[in-house]
Amino acid sequence: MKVKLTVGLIIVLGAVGLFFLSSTGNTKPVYYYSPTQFIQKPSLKNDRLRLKGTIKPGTVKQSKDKINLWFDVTDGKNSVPVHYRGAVPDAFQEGLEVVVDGRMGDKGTFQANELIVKCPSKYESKNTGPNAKGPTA
Amino acid sequence: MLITVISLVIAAGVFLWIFAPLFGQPEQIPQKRGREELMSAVNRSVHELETDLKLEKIQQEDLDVIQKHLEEESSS
Amino acid sequence: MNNLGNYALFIALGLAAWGIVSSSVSYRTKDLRYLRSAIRSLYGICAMVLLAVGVLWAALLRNDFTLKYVWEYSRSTQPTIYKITALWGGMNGSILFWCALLSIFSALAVSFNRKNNLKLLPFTTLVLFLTLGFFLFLLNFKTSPFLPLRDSAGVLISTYSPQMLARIQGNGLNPLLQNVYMAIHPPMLYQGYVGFAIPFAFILGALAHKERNTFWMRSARNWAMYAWLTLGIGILLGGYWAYIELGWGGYWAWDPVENASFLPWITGTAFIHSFLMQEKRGIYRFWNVFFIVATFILSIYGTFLTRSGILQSVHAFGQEDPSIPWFFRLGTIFLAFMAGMLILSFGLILRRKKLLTSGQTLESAGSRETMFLYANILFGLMAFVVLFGVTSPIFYRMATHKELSRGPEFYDPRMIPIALLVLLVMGIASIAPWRRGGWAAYRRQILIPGIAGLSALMASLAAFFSGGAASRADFASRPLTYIYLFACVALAFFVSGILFEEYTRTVKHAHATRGLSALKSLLAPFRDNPRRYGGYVVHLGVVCLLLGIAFSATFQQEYQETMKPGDSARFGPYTVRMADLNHDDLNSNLQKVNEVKIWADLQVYRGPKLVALLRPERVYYASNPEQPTYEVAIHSTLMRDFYTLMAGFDLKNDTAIIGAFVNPMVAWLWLGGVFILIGGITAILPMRRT
Repeated sequence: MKVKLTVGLIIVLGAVGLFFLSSTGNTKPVYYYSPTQFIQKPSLKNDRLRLKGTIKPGTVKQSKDKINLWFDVTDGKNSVPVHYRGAVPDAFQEGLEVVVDGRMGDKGTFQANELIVKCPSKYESKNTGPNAKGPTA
Repeated sequence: MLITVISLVIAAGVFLWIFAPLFGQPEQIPQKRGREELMSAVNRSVHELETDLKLEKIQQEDLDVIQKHLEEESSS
Repeated sequence: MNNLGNYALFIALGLAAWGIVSSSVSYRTKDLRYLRSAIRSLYGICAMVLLAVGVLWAALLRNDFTLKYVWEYSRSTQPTIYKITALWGGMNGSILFWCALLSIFSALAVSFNRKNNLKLLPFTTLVLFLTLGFFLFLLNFKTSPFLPLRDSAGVLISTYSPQMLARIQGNGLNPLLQNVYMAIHPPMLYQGYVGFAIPFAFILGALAHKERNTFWMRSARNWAMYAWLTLGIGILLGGYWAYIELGWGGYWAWDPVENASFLPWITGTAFIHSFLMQEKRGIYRFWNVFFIVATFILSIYGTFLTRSGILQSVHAFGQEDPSIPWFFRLGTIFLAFMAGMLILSFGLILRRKKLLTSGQTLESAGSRETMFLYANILFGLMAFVVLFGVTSPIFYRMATHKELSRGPEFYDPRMIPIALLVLLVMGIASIAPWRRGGWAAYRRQILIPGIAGLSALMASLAAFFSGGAASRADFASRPLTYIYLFACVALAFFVSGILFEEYTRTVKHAHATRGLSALKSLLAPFRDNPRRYGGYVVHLGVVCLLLGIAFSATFQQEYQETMKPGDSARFGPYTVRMADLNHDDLNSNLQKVNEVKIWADLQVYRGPKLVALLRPERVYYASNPEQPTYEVAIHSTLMRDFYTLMAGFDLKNDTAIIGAFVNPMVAWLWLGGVFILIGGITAILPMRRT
């Protein structure tokens, strides 16, 4: 019993120590903000964070070569303009939930390093699920 | 309509089938343990330990202790 | 015809309700008649659910768009194979599929155990009926796959005239899912999730019926290993699919959905290892019950998390109609089921806690038995980290109203050291002696693998630092990453050395003592003890997997160049010439042709030598005319993957923006997966009777 106990204790303590050691070596944790929360907190202007909202219909623009993307991310009340340069994810569509990782740029446009589009459900497209509308009448 | 009728027939048939055993003679569930499975598992463990003996992963006295314990557990 | 599906599911629900009653009665009264009735109900459920599956498949195959589900996940032009896989393409169908698997597995497990383990069946079947009942309740009242389709005005499609019906094409399965890996991935995962329900039921049944020993129950062992294997392969397939389909050059993002499938795999792995010790020494009974209960609960959680709308509905901003009262939302019902099964399990554990003590003590800190304890602790820790990462944002939000984002920056620093420790224990445990743990016992076997590990460490350090000042600077910028990398290399060689040594010892022994031919000797370990040596092959696979992850994560490079036909550009070690940029007729009617492609023909050179011809594409599918999907083109070698995609294109100016990743040693991940599959199948095979 003694063996088990001391061994176990050493390991558990060591592991917990590892857990917390590695957390102090961390960079600042990244938070999600909605557009409204972001606008209401001017102190966030220089922080790296993740904006979470939906892709506002009618605001999507893509450069001709498809590598530059502009759109507004909205939460229904406020919007933030976003610019993303890179390979646009397949699933990108107006009205879908999106997360943009980056920071506010100079000209009031949020510069995104990463663009993650969330479908209503990973596998579903616009026309599926409980709120889907069937074929047009 | 046809589908509804078929479904009712299926339902009736299935429920007749599952209630049928209730009308037999009352019988107790035999409380014996799965003897064969138990013995085959114990034998398998002993066999593996004997192989480990040859591979020098276990010493004879340890094997004896473990085997005795397994046989005790399986007979209770 | 489709109503047959509805009726079948309703009958099945009735059978499940009766099953709960009759199995409970047979548990209390030990009356065999009620048990027989319960068993028949189980077979009846199986038949009814399979009938419902048949009806849905028939509807999918004949393009019956009067059903909402068929319209959502199929189209008339969809390839037949994807009409079949559409069964699990959406939530309602996949719940039906899950239920079908559970009813088949339950029927099989019960029929195998009828003869020898009748005593345990009352409570075991009760657990199965409770689970089946839950899914059937959902299928009847919340997630029916047989709902009729209405058009946007609310009119039933089934009232349309034949001509109007003929014009309906269907929405179509998401093109991301029209891919062989995505076709197999859900059935694999579900076999894993459902498979674990069987040992869960039997172990609870054994506890309830006061059966002290569960180790001899084949149902516990074999189903758990089968479930573990299919779940693991399912996860790997998901990662592989993400890698080749999604175009971001990676295979794992610590996404909540991915984590939800990984969690039960971690606890399942712990279970199948720890259970071995219960077999031999009767120890770790509580650990085993704990792990199997955790695996089952996490499997349910994993099943539902994939359909992300469900958890959100509890928080009232999800998919469901907001007028539905909170207690009838999908999320609430599923949480209630999970809570109920947890209470049942832990209540049982408390009542029968005397059965879970082994009366034995561990003899040494270095013995084989104790190695498995370290493994249990490490796996438990891994599961804790992932569970913490997934659930802490929820509590954090409740406390501070800030939403925390957890990604690789959270998981990697914690999971990597634990994984390395697991690797170490994996190696040592293979040679650990029973009941003793002194240096003398290890000395002979550990020497050579230890030297191998150290040599590999020296060699890799030398190779890395031969890069001079640049290497030193890189090391200084991320020292922990490199320390972990070198540790991984050293451990990989150490563990491989041990596995190799174990294998050759057994082969030599078989040859010497039984005078077998060379070939027969080489096969002997797998035939005499498939579980152990199949397990060693799995461990080898894990080593490859971890090496692949370590190198691809540390040394990934990303590139992007704008190119016209005839241009050449440098991408890391490769020179790429774009021979051509082509496209299908962009004016064609997407609805008719189903897809319109744009592609680039790339010639890939390593130095002067042409090593590959790659064709990255963008494809417009009928079901998503706005965003073209990526068809990635990969040149894969054991050393690295050269992964190309068409990040952008401008057809008027005849240019394409080619993105590329150089991912070192990614192929080792998939190679590892193959070993895991082969080893896992071997391990499940029955031993040769000597």
